Amino acid sequence: MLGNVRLAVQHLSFVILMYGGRFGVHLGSAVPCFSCPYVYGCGGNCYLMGLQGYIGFGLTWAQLWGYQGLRALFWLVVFAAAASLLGKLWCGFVCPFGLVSDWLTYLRRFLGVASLRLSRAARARLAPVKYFLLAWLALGPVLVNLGLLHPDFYLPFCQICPGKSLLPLFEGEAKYLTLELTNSVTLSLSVVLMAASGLTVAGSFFRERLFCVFCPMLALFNLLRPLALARIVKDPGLCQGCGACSRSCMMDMDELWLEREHDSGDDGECLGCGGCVEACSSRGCLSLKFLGGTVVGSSPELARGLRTGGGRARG
Amino acid sequence: MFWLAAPPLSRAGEASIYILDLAPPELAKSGLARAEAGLVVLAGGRAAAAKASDVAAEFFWSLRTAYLRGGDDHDAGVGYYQAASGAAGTVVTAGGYSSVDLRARVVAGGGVEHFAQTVFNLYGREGSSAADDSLAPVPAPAWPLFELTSPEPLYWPQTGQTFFLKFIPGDRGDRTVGADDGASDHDAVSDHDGAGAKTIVADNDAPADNNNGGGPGGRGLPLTVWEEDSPAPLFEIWAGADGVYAFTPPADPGLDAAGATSAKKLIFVRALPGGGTASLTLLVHRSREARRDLPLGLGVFFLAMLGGGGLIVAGRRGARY
Amino acid sequence: MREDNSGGGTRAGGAGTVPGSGAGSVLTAEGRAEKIREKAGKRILAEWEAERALLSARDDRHESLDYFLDLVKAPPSPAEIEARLRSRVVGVVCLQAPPELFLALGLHPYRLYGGSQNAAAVAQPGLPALMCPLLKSLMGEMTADPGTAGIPWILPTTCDWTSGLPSLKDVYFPGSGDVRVVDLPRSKENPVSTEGWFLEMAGLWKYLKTLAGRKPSRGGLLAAVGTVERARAAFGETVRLRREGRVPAVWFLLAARTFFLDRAENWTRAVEGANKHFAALEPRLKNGVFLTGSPVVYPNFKLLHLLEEAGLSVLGDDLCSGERLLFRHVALKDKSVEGVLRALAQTCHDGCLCPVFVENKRRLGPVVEAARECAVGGGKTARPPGGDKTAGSAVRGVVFHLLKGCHPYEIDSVVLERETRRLGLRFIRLETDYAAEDRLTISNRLEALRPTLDAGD
Repeated sequence: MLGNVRLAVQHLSFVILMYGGRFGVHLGSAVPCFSCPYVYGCGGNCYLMGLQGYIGFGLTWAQLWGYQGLRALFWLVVFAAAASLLGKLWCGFVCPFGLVSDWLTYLRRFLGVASLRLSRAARARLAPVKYFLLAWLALGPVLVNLGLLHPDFYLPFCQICPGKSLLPLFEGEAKYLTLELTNSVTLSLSVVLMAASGLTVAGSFFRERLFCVFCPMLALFNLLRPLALARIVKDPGLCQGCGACSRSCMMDMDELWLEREHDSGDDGECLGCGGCVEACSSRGCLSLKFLGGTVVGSSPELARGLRTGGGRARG
Repeated sequence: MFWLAAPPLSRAGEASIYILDLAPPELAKSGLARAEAGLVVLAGGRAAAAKASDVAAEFFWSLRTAYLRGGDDHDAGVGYYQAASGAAGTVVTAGGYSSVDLRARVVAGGGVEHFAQTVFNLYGREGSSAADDSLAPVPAPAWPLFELTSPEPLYWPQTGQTFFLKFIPGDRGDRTVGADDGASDHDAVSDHDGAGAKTIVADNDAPADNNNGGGPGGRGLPLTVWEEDSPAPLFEIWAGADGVYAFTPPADPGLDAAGATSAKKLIFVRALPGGGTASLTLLVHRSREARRDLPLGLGVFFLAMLGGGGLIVAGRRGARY
Repeated sequence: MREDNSGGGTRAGGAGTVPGSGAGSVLTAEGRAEKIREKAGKRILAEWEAERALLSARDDRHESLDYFLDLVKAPPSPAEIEARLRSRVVGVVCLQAPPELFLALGLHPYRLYGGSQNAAAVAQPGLPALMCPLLKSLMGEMTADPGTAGIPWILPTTCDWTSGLPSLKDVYFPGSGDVRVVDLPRSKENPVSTEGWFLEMAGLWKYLKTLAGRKPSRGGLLAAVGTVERARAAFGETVRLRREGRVPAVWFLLAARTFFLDRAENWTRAVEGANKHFAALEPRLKNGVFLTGSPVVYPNFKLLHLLEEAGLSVLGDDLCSGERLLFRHVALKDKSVEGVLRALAQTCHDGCLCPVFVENKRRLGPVVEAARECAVGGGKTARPPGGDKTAGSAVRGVVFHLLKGCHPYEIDSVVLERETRRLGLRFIRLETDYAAEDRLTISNRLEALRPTLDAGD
């Protein structure tokens, strides 16, 4: 049931965020997911672009103390508020790029191809990459402003983000699937972009939400986690250790499964998809909470609502 | 001749510096020196130089086409709409921008008139939300005017983008034959980063039709194309049968290497009967789209995709259940 | 000539006899064995029939429960099941080998455990006195029906008795069927053991494919998962009704016992039918207890009857012969064959609460969950007030059924006693076996327990 709700919300969000601008919908410059401004007519701008540019690290020191600085602060507050409101649910329920990745996963499941499993050690090694990308996203524009980096490193993360090349395809625009031969910097960045895009598509086919392992937006969410109003919470006393939550996790997290003492939940790699809550058949063990109140709690009935065998793939 | 250009980021109501550059070789003989105008504030139909220069300059500006975002004081609501051309009473507000014609006139020794024009984007001042209705429109002077169009969207003028210039002499002399026939329907041909204009000083000899208007013998007087600091014009273009000049700025390796926001000034100069000149200055950036190679990009994309997928499949070759 | 009522084993001059002097023919070894088998079979059958008669005579017997009673008319025989279901029967000791793997290949899993005191009594001489009663009873049942020893066995290496079973089988039933050992990692919740058990399951899958002689499709495996999932859903509803005090323990455990005696689809339908009957019964929440410990296996329902007689209502259990029969819901994300194998493996390993594992702290989970689900007044889900996890619950005590000779559960009882007392529940450990001699002792202890359940903490 929860999975179906997520599917519906994801698709609605995709339509709004990808095409909303064409109908006069624009949610501003601080959308906490990959609502890509490279998509003409998008319904809101991914905050990462603004953060690298005109409402963030792209501002000069002088601009920071002026009106533009205030504006940057405004959008930061808007982002923090929006990110806190839904927490990781932005990733699991709203992000259009996440939905594209999920489509690849549904295709893989339909074909019965086994999933690529990353060991815990591998995941631990890959997890810091998102923070490096966040640092790159912040540092790059500063270095450009200081003249230490070529101006074409402007929007340094957007230049290599697979969302830039792949999302515009859904409005018929293929111009970002190109190598940009203008100079060596644009060429290098576009080569990295094409390689990242190709690897993302291939990787996301075999491994659910592979890109999210590296997503700097997730890094931002993790930094803001103490403010999150929507959380996934575990009551370890009710856990029977079956591992269903771990198997259902889009990110192959086993932290939730192995937790025995604290009410941990959506930290680290969690994308707030609620799959763990739906898969857990121990009543009340896992819950999706908002402001401390339970929105959905695990139960045998909810778990049995999942189609597990014969019939169409689980949503 | 002289030319003028606006800085890359101009905001309504803010102090802006417009450089009036009087080309020394032409006017030095007439005693006019190279000068910079001081602060120029666009506060109405007329703008005045706050700091006097050696040359008295008279300015006129108008909104070419305006794209304004509706705010509290507008009934349009959120969205974009097109205001009437020449609605000088409307000041561009926050979130909006407008393409603006700025024109100036100087009188050199002997009463010879020189006109300069530039087209630039004027952005709404941050924080401004109310239109300034105190500005009264002024009648447009009958100065020579260049009408600039392009078949491609004018993000900002770029190399490789084809520009069509129609010269309207006003009451200053002969107009290009056919120039008042209204907008011509030009093919949206864009020879991105078109090379091969008929250049005077450049090395490239390959002619391109759209930079020549049919070659010498085309209608009317030619336009010469200068770059800032170039000692002599780089190109000479002639109007086509419809009286419109077509020009595609060729790629500039310096611009390509410098960055997306770097720009150079291209100055189009048309001689006037009576010895004067009219110029149009464009701030040209490097082409945003010309250097995109789709086949190469797709090649790298698919190589990475197949390579990554292949590695994964190869890694699980032994596992059969 | 000796009296022969076995139908041919001791005919004069026939097989099984030799001419003897004096009183007549003497039984050959084969004849003796046949006689023992026959006698054992009769004794075991008598016990099964007696228990069945007891259940049939209950006031709460209903036609929807006749399906289960019919399946326990006689001790099950793999040959009979094979003939009835037209599927090859494969024996499974313990539950860590998931039934889905068998069903996907058209094989029928047959759980190898015994609940018969008479079977334990007739089990081969020379077996240890304090052998696990489940397995001793199994050995006795094989005495009566050697066919059970002849089928292929799947044996997860759970406890020491289980691990020693193949050796005993070889001694007493030489040349009998193959035993496929699957090495069960005794630690849980770490990547090495999880991966290790998956590899064992993958190996088991390949082995079952050779047994079945066919190549299964992914769709077939998913269909089997779906079949068991539907069974799990029906059984889960029974559990829910049990929490409301509507399902007597004897019927619950009888239903669980019969899962391996018929096709899963038939069993599911029967359980769904029984659920309708149970839903109409009056709830009995007073003196609610949670039953845990060693499995309670038909026909040895001694403890269940004693609990009922003492006025205690079993509102939940975590017996592998009871509520844990089908483990928990198998959440499938990856529906490739590998993904399904991994999901089944993890569910049956990490989700298993048997005390054979090194660390079993999760085993308190079912107790707490059941306590929470049993609100006083019969509500479906109870959120106990305050910090006490069991306050306001109808479950007031834990009854630990400990079979003599069962060392893992003996250790487990020490841990559970402490944990349940911390939860504010009463705790009683009943160490017993299949013999009836200790009925009175147990009854007295349960009678003494009952008033303390009302007294609170």
